Amino acid sequence: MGRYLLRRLGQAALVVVGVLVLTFLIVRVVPGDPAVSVVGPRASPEQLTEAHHRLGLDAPIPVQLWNYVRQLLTGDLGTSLHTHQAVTHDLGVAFPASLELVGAALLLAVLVGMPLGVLAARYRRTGTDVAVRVQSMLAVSLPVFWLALVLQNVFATTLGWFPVAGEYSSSLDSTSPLHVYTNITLVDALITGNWPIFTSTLGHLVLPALVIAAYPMGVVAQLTRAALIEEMGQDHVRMERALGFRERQVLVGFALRPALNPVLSLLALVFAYALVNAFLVESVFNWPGLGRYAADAIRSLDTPAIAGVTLLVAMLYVLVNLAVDLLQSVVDPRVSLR
Amino acid sequence: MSVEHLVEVRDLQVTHGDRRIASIPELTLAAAECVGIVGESGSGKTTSLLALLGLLGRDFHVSGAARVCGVDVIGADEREVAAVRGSRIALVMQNPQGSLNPTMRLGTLMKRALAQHGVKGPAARNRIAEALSSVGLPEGVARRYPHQVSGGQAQRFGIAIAVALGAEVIAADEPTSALDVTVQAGVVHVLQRLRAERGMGLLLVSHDLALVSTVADRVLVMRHGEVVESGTARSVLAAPAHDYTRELLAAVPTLGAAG
Amino acid sequence: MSLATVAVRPSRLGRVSRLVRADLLAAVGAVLLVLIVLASLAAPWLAPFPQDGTTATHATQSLLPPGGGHLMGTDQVGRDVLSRLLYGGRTSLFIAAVVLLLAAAVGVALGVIAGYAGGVVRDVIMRVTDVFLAFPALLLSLALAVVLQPSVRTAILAIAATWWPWYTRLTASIASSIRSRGYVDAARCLGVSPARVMLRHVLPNSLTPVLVQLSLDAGGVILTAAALSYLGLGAQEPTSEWGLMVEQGQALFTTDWWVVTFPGLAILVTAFAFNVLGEGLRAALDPRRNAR
Repeated sequence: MGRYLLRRLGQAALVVVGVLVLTFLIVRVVPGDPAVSVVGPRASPEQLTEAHHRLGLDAPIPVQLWNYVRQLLTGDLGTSLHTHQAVTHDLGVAFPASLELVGAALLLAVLVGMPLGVLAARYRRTGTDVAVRVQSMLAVSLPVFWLALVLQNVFATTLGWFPVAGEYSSSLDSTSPLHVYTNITLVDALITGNWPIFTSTLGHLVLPALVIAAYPMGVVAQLTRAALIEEMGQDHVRMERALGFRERQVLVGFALRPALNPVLSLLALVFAYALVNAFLVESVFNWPGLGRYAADAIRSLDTPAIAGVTLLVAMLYVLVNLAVDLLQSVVDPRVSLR
Repeated sequence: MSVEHLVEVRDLQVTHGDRRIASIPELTLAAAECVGIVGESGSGKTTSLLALLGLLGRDFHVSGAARVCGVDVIGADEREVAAVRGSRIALVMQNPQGSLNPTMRLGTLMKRALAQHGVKGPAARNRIAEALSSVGLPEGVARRYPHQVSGGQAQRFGIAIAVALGAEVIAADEPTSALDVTVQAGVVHVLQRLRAERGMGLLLVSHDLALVSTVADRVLVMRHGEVVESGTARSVLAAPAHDYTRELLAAVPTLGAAG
Repeated sequence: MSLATVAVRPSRLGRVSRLVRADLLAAVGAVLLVLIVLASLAAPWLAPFPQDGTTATHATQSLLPPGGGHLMGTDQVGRDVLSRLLYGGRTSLFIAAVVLLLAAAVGVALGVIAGYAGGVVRDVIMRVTDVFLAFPALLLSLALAVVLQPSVRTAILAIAATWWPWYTRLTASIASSIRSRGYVDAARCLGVSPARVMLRHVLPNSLTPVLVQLSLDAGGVILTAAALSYLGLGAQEPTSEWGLMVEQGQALFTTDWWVVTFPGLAILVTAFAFNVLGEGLRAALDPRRNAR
């Protein structure tokens, strides 16, 4: 276990370094001249040279990379060109909102997808199985931005069952203002006992979370089904049947846990995918998360903001992957031996 | 043969689609007795064993009469057959570690199996301790995962579950062929002792004629799903009537020379 | 080994057709896909108003509901939605084809090198794939598309940049398993060049899994490309593209539903067709899954 942990941590560290280099290359080397966006297109050559020097752009690339990393280590991601705030500050507000949305979506996806997968595996090759497969295939084939528009127009604009956009009714800011601790509205509302905002946020969460949940739900259902069917062919399942356990007990009580392993490892990937899907959905529902921030940044060609978002999501992906691998070695004790 | 038989089979037929996989005209097993079923792979011996446990999938069709400890395992409904499995007839499989759930401590598995058959609390704890010692395993094994024990220990543990559940018949499918020779002897010794001390019946499926000849009282020789020869172990193995049995015997160096 | 590969292939094809027949869902996907490809190829002849698929606009006919001369209605500048849909299929399929071709070419080449060379080279290549895999496809595409000029070409480059590592992983694992079987060492002893051995043994064995992966990925590429265009980072006006059509019509959804509904359905159906066909192919061709 100790050696496995070390090896896995070493791998993750290497990937983090790679992610830093790649982000640096994209942001600092590929685009034209960042100095121009600082001093403006009509600046004199002297002003430009001065800006170059001030921004450290006259240094060799490796030195620039080192400066970039040093900046990052102090928590400095630069200043956003469209909010004129520190990118770290913007991310600190936007990321918790995205996390709230994606967390709710993943919870929904697992709660619905896993039982569907179990059902399909239990009634394999029957109508139930085919229905689950078609449904999950449709779920992974849906263009999220379109699904978001459809649900918003049908259930919010036309039927009025849910709010159209936003995180909670803005009128509540004056009637029952929220004390911010974590920037995750649901959590903040809960710990401060701010029920109006809590319920309002839940209502606003339903549609965007449903949209984001579609894809992971399909993936989880498919994978649970496949993993369970494979697990049900293992020797230990025959033994459990031979011990007098009924089919349903074997499926849920014995085969599900070892089958969860591949599902778990995919959940990391799905998390990143869901976060990026949230980018598309947040713009539609005007959810104040990373996606809306990124969309605004794209519109104003705000490179520091884009770089910040990219770096954050990639780092998060590496961390989640690492966490899942370590969690796996707990769920299935054989993993750490491999 | 006035003894009550633990297993009684008459005209057992297993088919898959229109293909006949196993056919056993007659098979009985008395308490403390061991019946060996020999034959090469694909001869239908494992299938027959699974039919007795009611463990063949829906793709298989089973007909004939088979009673295990008085319960009709072919005609009875699934609930009734499931109650027989484990508590009356226990399965011991070839791959000892693979036959144990990789995510479960051995003791947890045993506890759950006992609970399934209505044994809980202190009674279950006593049974577990007693069963483990009866197969020569230390109690600490209960806290281990399957990948943390040796093949021989895992196989002994499989037998221990049968003991804990109070099974009267052990259906052993190649119980020693995945084990080292030295470990094999230990597992065989445990099985023999359980027969002698507890009167357990042993159905021993194996392609290892040397093993069958030392353990079994009677032998069924199967080939392509049919029983080609049966009788006492001594008569069948010393004076085989069927060519196929002779071929099997010739493949075992020491026995072939003796016969 | 190569003899065996050759001998196996005809029966493999037979198995595919048998299994596609057995797997109704995959068969439905295949039929849908053939229809979509044919319709896109024949867009200039099938489209009721071919010039609407490109540059023409008709200010007087804007936002006509479906029916009459326009089966799927017209958009805000009076273009026939059906015609733009057909031309949009060309864009989507073109993007998917080029992305997958690029990704597979780069990915397989690096994978063969990694699996063959082993050791440090393999470690370096695999860590690089890890780095690229840490960026979800849409995210890296976002970053690249912002930095480069948004266009179909940029979208293709950006998506391909995130897709190749999968093929590297796939091929590397196949190559190293073949290497471990000793063919390569044996061949080297016989004086055959190692590069040749790799070409003869690794590529044929990688073909089937790579094909399966390609069909599975096509749906994802189409969704990503549509998403990029929806964000304004892919195809630009006046090119017909489904994601772009949704973006242009989204403000009108409540009043003029057809402008958004049909292109969205087109994306859904195409991605669905690729996904079920890919799943079916995997079930038919992957021997490990086949055993079930």
